[in-house]
Amino acid sequence: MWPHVRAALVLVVGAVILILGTPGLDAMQHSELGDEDERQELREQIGPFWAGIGIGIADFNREHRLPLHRALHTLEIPIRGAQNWALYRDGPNRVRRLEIWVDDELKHRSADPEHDWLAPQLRMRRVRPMVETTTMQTMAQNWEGLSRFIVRRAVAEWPEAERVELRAIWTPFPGDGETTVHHRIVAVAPEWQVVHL
Amino acid sequence: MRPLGVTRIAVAGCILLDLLRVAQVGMVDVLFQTFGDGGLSKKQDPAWVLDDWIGAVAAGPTAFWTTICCMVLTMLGVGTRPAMLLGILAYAQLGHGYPPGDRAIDRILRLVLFALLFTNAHRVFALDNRILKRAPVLTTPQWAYDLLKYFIALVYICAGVGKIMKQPMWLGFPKFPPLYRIVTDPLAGHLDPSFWVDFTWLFTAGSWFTIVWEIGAFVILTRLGRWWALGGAFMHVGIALTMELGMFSWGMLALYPILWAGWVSAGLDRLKR
Repeated sequence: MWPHVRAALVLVVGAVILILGTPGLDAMQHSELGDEDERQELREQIGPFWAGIGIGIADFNREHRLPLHRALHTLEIPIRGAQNWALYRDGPNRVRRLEIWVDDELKHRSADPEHDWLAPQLRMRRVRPMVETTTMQTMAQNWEGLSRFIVRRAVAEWPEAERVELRAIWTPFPGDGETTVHHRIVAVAPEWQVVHL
Repeated sequence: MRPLGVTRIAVAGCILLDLLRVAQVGMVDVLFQTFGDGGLSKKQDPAWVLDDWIGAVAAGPTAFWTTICCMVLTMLGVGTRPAMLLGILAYAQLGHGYPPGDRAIDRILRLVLFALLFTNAHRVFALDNRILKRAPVLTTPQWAYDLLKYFIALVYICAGVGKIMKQPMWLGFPKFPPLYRIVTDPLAGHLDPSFWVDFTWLFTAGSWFTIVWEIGAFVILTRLGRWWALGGAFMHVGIALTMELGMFSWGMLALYPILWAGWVSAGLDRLKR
């Protein structure tokens, strides 16, 4: 009896893994192709036949897979095994660098060994996603936490500092063209409140 | 069985070294704290229960050092199963406490360790065998290997399909191929975009190879699986050399004894002689 029960359990686990991480569907949002305007646009782009397949897949995902996904989600919370295996789907569309200036002196620039203050921390895999979003987006979700951390470290290292500035530097590929400061985050003594410019 | 034991040790070792790196750069108190207490992340998951149980200040370091101790015990094979389970739960709490830092590789390794709980991976290469004076168990049900190989294949196929859906030019001939833009990104890569722009053909070939290999990862489930996995190892070593992704490549390679079970067993037999 037990071998049959175990075989059934293994099948169930395999099915759960597939439902939670279905190739292609795990990257689709709930709202994707839910709008008639969006569907019409797709039909015009790729033709009614292929658009019909895409719309059918999106509908299946929204109406069948995602509800099952939500129901099974509770199971994975204790081990935090949520399944989205979208690993490096695309690269950045421009060369991005973070610069940190303390009183008009450059202390950190991404991938610059001559300005590598805080590089071990900022390039660490657990922090780098925040550095990426802060550099890529004007109001990234965690810009405040990252900026506050950098400012506090700067003030601890240079107690006489008056101003700390983070700059998001954008350059078109391959990186030797015109450079722009896309946005800045500034903190000024004595309050050291981080402000997005 | 022995390949699963090797995987157990390798996975726990990757997690241990990854967390020790966090301590080495002095970031434990910064990452695993609530935003209000000086942490980086504005949001914590509702499942971050440790801060309710033992307070926000102690929660992060407690989960951190608990995970480290459990990974050491898992590697050594002492109280292995309880250590693995507690380690997985503590490690998951770190992810709930600091969601932006809990990446796909963390989830993959937790799931693999969780799956290994249901095998005899704790009964081989374990100090417990000496302490408890018991013989190692050198076999495990085939389903364990099959399920883990299926999971690994699915991860790669999802990654490949996701890439194509997001950026069809993975299989094109763009001026700046996706792989070029990824490995020359100053925020994560080591390569200089200005220098390597004259060699974009290499990255076009690499982009094609990545997609073909990832979407073809179902081959892992066949008799050619171990040979197909050589391509994966090549890809992960390449990533380790060109990018600074921490334990990502090593964590994935820690799973390869499962894909190379026959070779690993034969190699261990030769070492014994």
